[in-house]
Amino acid sequence: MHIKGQNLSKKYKSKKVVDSVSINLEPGKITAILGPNGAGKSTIIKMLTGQIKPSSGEVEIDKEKYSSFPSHLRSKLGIMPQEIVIWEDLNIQENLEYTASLYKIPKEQKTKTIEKIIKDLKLIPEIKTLAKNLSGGYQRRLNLAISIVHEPEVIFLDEPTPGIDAQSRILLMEYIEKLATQDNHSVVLTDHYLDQAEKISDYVYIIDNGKMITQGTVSELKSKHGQGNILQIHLSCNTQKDLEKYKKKFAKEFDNPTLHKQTISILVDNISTNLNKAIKIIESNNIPIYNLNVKEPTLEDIFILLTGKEVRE
Amino acid sequence: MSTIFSVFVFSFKSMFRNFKSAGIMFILPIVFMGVFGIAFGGETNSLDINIGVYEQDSIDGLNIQDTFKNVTDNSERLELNTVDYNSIKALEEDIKEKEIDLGLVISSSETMRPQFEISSLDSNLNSPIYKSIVSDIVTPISLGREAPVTSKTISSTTNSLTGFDFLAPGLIIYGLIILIPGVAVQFVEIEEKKQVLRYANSKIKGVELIAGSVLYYLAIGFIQIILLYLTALAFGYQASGNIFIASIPAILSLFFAIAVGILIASVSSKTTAASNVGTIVSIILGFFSGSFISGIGRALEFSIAGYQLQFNDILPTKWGTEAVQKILTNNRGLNDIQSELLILLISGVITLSISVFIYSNRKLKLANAA
Repeated sequence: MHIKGQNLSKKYKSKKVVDSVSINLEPGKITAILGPNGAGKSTIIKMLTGQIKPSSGEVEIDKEKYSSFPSHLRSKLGIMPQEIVIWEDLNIQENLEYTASLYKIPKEQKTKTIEKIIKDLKLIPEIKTLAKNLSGGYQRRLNLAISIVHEPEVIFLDEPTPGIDAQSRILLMEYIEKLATQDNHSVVLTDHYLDQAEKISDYVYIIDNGKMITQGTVSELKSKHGQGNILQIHLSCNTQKDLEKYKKKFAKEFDNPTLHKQTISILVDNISTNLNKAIKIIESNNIPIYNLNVKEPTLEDIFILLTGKEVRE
Repeated sequence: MSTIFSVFVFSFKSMFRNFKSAGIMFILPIVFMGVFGIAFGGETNSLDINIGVYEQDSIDGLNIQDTFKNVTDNSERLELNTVDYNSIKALEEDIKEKEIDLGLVISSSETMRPQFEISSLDSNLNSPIYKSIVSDIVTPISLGREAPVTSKTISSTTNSLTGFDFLAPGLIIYGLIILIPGVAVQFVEIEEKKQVLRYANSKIKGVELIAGSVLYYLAIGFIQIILLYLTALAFGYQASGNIFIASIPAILSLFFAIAVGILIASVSSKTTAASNVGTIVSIILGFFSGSFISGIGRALEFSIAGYQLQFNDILPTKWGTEAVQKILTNNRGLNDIQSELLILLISGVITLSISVFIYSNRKLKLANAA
């Protein structure tokens, strides 16, 4: 199933939360929609899956155009919502069996699929535990498990790993990657953990304030917005006035330095020349710093360079 | 069908695993039954009896109408409505047609003492009500031509019905009405806990989801009926009818109660609100259906175009209470509650259809979400 959202917009009263965003979900690929909280990621997912109607724009499915996602195709989607939506009074096994029965899956197929999911998501130790008594990590795994028990063609994961332990997060991300690479599902993922999305995504959309900031593969984004190195100067002053003042000193010599919290980030192509230049600015202006480092730009750095803010603000 | 069964099983499992909170829906009506049994178990209550009278022989000094009037006037609990007949045949016809409850044929013996023939349907004669009529009215009259009849003799009879006998059927219906908040909460939870997303994306139809839940509540309702019936018997309820026949109007009343619960869920966005509204509605509905005060409708009678109506006639559960009372207390059969069954069936189907339609459109459609 090939889903495209074209010029999707969503307005609540007078506020436009998504503004003319176009998204193409390539079959068999992992597509990431990234951005800070409130950027409009979940609204885009909801429009693409028919949970809400777009105020304008259209959804294209296998070249057929619709004003919103048609309900008769919904069972081909697997949606893992941001909230944990599980049957609290059932145990893990029962959760999966009940959900499978809602999709009217034949008994044999149901048993086989459930066994595989339980094994892959390492749910066996808690298989008979009531969902309401599971830890946050297990609840997230179960949330994913019941979203895919019917083997959907396209899987939407709306921030799959918030507030869970590192072990569960790694397990979930590895499993999500496996869904696309081995099982050939299309996976759409929203996240504000850019580092983990960067590792598994084939294509990335970066959203802020309801608008598309940029898009491309991770390597395309890096070469487009992050060619070179990131020079980070960590200032040891606190007042916003001083921070802005020091940023201006760097702005005289460098293109687009960004200030985030107490750190000034500058994208530079030639590190040795530019590092010396930065040190001179620090010394000549008596700028108080506690650290200075150079690193290769990550998706998160690119986001900060593009928006001037951190993705998890 | 298997999907409906899955929802049914799911609902049962959820109930048993939350038995502390779900138990209240079983325990509360039982407590009510016990309290009312203790409070009203020793008192008799008002009773409407239609008696057909045929005076075959004229007996000097005996005025049967005055006697019945005297009984009714002096009794707080007995109301005798008499109808005069000109022939035994007409009287027996009306008994067959159930126009009257009891026939009294008065004739004169050789010694000119009055003698009575009680005619009624066999089943009725065995019930406590009719035994009480025979022993409390006719027997005193026959003792002497001038023997007065007072209400005292009625209440002293061992087989007299108590106030609890008239309340128990209403309390059984209340045990079903009290499921309203539970129904409302369960249906609101689907939205509140975002389960609607799971259902709407799956292949289950809204009707199947609701049917599974309704089936669950019907099963719960049946268990409730049996539990309450046994509790009532334990507290002295003198049931003479068949509980399984009485379950038919009770279950039909439950359809209406479930519909009310779904309707409340349709307009509530939080479980707390649904629970509160459901509780208030169930108490009001129970009160006006005669669950706590037998014959409450009589207090608010009015007439339209010559028809005497009670304002609670519009409540299907009132008819449910009356039907259960006829079966259990008065030992009537299904034929005697045909009109009640028809009212319950029609009102249940209409209200359930309306509430399912509203709920499905307001709550089960994803695109309605903000």
